[in-house]
Parts: sequence; structure tokens; C-alpha cells
Amino acid sequence: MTTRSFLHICLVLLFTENSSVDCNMLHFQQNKVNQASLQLLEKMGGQFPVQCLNENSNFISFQNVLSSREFQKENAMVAIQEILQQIFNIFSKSHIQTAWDRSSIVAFQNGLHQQIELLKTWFDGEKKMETTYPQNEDFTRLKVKKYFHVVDNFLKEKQYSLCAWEIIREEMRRCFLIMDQLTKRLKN
Amino acid sequence: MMAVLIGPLSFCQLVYLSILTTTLFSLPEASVINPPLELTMDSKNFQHILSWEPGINTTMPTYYNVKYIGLSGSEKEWKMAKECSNTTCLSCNLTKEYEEYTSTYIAMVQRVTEHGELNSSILEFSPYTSNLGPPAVNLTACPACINVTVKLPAAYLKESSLIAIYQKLDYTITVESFDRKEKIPIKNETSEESFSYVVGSLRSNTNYCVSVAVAASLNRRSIPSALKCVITKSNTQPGYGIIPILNGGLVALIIGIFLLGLYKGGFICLKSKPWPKVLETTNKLHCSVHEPDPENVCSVQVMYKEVKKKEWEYCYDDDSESDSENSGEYTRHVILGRVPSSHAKSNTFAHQTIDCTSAESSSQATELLNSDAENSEEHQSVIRENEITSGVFFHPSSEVNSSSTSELSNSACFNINLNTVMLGDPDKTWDDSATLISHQKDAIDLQDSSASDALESKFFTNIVDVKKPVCHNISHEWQKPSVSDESDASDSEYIRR
Repeated sequence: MTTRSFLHICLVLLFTENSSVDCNMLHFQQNKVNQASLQLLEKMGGQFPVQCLNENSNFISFQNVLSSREFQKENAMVAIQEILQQIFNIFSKSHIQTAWDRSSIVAFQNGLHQQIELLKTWFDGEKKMETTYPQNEDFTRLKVKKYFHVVDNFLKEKQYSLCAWEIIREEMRRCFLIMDQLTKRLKN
Repeated sequence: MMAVLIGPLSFCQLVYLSILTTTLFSLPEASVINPPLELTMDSKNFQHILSWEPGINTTMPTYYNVKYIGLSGSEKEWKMAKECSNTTCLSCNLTKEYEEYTSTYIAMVQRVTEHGELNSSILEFSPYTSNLGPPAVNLTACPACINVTVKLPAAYLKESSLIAIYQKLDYTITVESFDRKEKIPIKNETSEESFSYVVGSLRSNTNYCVSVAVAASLNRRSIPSALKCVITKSNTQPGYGIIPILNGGLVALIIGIFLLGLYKGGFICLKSKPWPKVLETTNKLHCSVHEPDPENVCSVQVMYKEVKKKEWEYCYDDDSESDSENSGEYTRHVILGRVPSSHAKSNTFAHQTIDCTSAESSSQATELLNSDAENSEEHQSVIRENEITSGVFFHPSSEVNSSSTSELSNSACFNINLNTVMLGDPDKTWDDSATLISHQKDAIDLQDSSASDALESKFFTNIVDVKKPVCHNISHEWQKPSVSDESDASDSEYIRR
């Protein structure tokens, strides 16, 4: 058992420390992360509470943020990395809903963290090869950050209530669906 | 007093009991009238149909209202499904209402009866998780394989398709043998509405059944297509037998062309080349050394006659020479027979009588030489080769006996006493003359070709200058009157002093 775990650690280290990340592997990992995260999001809470249906959430839909026209292939990966980072930040807050399944939350966080690190490594490699567009990259990051700032403010306003969290949870689920569509479209 | 206490207690109990019974009775009525509605959503390719079960009591007329709400919208309020308001149907098509496929919708059915409205439980549903399929499958049989053509079903969304929503779909082709013994799953992905896949490595002349299912990475709900069966074609076709034969023929043709090219280029020789003509003489020379042909012998009688030695000139060579020395006189050569290669030189001039058995035949004739320079003018006859001339004219100044001259002038032959004829190398002394003469006698007597050959070999062993081989072909050449320069030179060598 120890040898097997040692092998697993070695493999993980190998993948994480590898500076030259294969694009196909990146997409494959991204797909896996999307699938797992979606399942965990559905698992951590139950059905949407009926009492929260009257709650109004006046913030811009995420789909408007990620309009594919503005994103080129290089910037798409930058946007995805930033989105994952922001989601991770939100779900790492101490005010996270205690009614939710703790193990699902932890697994969700771990998956996000792994993918973020992988994207960082790939991005550093791309920077060395000078295939990125720094100006567009900053703009993309800013747009994503702006959206999640609104989300953060919403949570603060609602004082991290259950209904607020449930609305945010539903919104994050949509995030993953749109991200998946974007990455698959740009891969072609 | 006891009756008074019992009275109030019984009254309370009665009241309590009556209330209890009424509530008990009312409750079943309520449950019977308003049963909870169970909602089910059947979604296929973005066509969403909500259905529910009716209440137990169906005698009373009931109407249903379907309401829904989308979680993604900023305005969260119940919306009425337009086609399903006050409907007696037990199902409602919410395809148009669920237009945002990434969003989650909550549906509720309201039952309206005389007694009032009753809301059912809610149903949460995301159109993204709609069941995909079944795709349209067409099978084409080929030898030991099946060509599967798949067409994705149309999505019920406005101006959209499954590929537009999911970008990429994973499909699984399941190939089963008819007796369910084999099962081959093939997984692949597509980003096209219509695609085909060739399933190979199958057995020929076997019945196979194929089923195809499509799914997305984030939506694994799929409906597989119905099993379609086809029989694979046989592998052994006449066309397949011809191809290896044609290949073999083509290879043989290429090899043949290659070999022909080599032959034309001179790398391959099939037959030996003939010996060049230039080298033919070498062969014949070689022949002559080892196998000399016999010479025809012509019997010659030579009579000796002393003659003063005079300087005579060999007139045979040139007309100019003869003119210089023997003016106005001609000497014609008498060629009585074939002359051996060497020319002996005699210091005495002699008459010679030659009896030629046949004039035409190439008979051997001894050479008549006027070795003596002093008597050279008198008798000059040179027998050379195989020619026989008509006559020889002698110099009138010669001191030879006129009889001999007359004889000679009349006859075409010369009389030579070979006993007196000296043969030998001009540079050498005449010590061997006796032996030569004796040998010459033998030479005259003998008419056998073989003997003459032997003599020849004895005589002319010393002679190095072997110019004319004995072979027949070449001897014919020398029958020509024009004599080669070589022979002339050799003659002069021996004759002149």
C-alpha cells in the first residue's frame, strides 16, 4: 500500500512539476474537473429551497461575461484559470453554508486547486515561448474579476444567508456549463 | 351530588368526542379530494413534457395550471405555461418555456377543483440534462465489416442543434452477434451531426446487431438506438483471387524489362562473339607451325653444266634492275612449282631438266638459283611458288651451251642437275654442299608429300625466316603473279653476292 501511494505521489508530482504541459492533457483534465465539480455542486446541497424562490438576485448573468467573441484561444485558458481561482476563493470562505455536505465541499476545493495549478504551469510555459498576448490577458482577467466581485458583494449583502448561497451555487453550476462549451468550441 | 359531577364531565367528553370525530371524518375527505400530485418530467432532445397523475376522485371536474420559474433570471416569479392553463390534460409540453438550457427550472402543477386550488410538489429540472438520442442508424454490410452511418437527432431548441449546445458528443457503438455471444463496444467522439464508422475485424457471413448511443461529457443521459441487424459479406470473392495473380504477372514483367535493359546495356552476353578476322592469321600461323601441309612434289631432273661464273644479275625483281645490268634482255621467271620458304643458293649454274607431271597442279619444284654471279647472265631461272610460266629467255651473252639454251628456249622447262646445285646460306661456306646434293637427290626421287615434308624440315631447320606457312589457304594467295616484296627481298638475298 505504501509503495502504491508513493507511486501515486510521484505521478502527481511528475504532472505538476512538468513545465511543458501538453495541450491535449490540459483539455482532458479540464473536462474531468468540469464533470467532477458539477456533480459535487449538486451533491453538496439538496433541491433548491422553495422559500428562496422569492429572493431576487439582481446581478448580471455569467453568460454575458463570457461572450466567446472577445475570447481568443490563448485568452480562453487565461479566463478559465481566473474563473476557477475565483470560484475557489468563494467556496473557501469561512462563511460557507454549514448545511451543505462538508466532504463534497472539500473534494470540490481540491479538484479546483489541482486544475488551477496545472493551468499556472501551462501558462508559465506559454509565457516562456511568448505565445500570449499580455494586453488581452489583463483585460480578460479584469472582466472575470469584476463579475466575481459582484457575486462577493451579493453574498455580503445577503449576509451569507442560505438563499444567497443557494443562488450562488446555482450560478456556479452554470459557470461550469458555459466554461465547458467555451473550451470545446475553442479546441476545434 | 354524584350525578352533578358526572354531568359536566360527560358533557366535555361528548364535546371532545364530537370534535374528534368530525375532524377524523373530514380528513379522509380532504385527502381524497386533494391528493398530492406526483410530477414527472420526460425530456428528450430538449423536448420537455411534464406529466402528472390525476386524483383518485375523478368524478369531479378538475383543471390544471402549470407554473414554472427559472432560477437564472433576475425576476423570480411564477410564470404560467400558456398552453397548459386550465387544462384537463395530464401532461404539459414545456419545451418553449424552458428556453435557457443552462438554467434550472422549477415546475409546479396547480389543480383547480370546486373545493379550491391545490398545489403539487415542485419539480426541479435543467434542460441541459435532457436525454439525448436515439440517433438514426443505417447499416451497410461489407466483407468482414459493417459500415455504420449515424445521424444525430434534431434538438427542439430554436435554431440550435445538439452539436451547437454540446460542441462534442461521445458515441458508443455496440456490436453484438446475433446469438449474443460476442459484444464489441466502440467508443469515439464526434463534432458533426452526421458521421459514419466502419466496424472491422468481424467474421464474414455472420449476423451482427448494432446499437448506437450518444452522450455529452457533462450530460451522460442517453437513449440508445434500437438494435439493427445485418449480415456481413463473404471475403472470398473472385475479384480477390485475380489481384494476387495480376500482382505476380506485374512483378514478372518488371523483372523481364530489367533483364532486357541489362542485356541491351551489354551487361549480359548470351552468345559468344566470333573471333575477329584480324586474329585469324594468328590461328593459322599457329596451325602451320604444328601441322604443316604437304607440298606437291614435281619431279625435276637437273643436269650439271659448268658455266663461267659471271656476274649476273637477278632480273626477276624489277624491270629497272634488269635494264641496268642486262640491257634489253628479259628474263622471265619459270615457276615450276611451289618453292620452299628458304631459297638456297648455288654457286654453279646448271641446266636443269624438269619433268613436271602436271603443269597445273601445285607441284613441288626445286628452286633454281643462279648463285654464281659470274654465270648469272646465262641461266637465270627461278622457280618460285606454284606458277609455271611459258618460257624463259636467256641472255644471249651467256656462255652456256647453246644447245641448252635452245632446249630451254623451246621448252618451257629447264633441265637442272640437282647434283650440282648447291643449296645453303649464302654467308656460309660450301662445305656442306655434298650433303646438300645427296639430300637433293633424295628430294627429287621422292614424290610423297610426307617425305618431302620431312626433307623440308631437315633442310630448312637453320632457316629462320619462315615467312610463308604451308597451309593451303595462304598458298593459293601466292599463286598470283605479283610476288610480294618480302619474297623478292629474300630471293635477292640469296641470289646476289
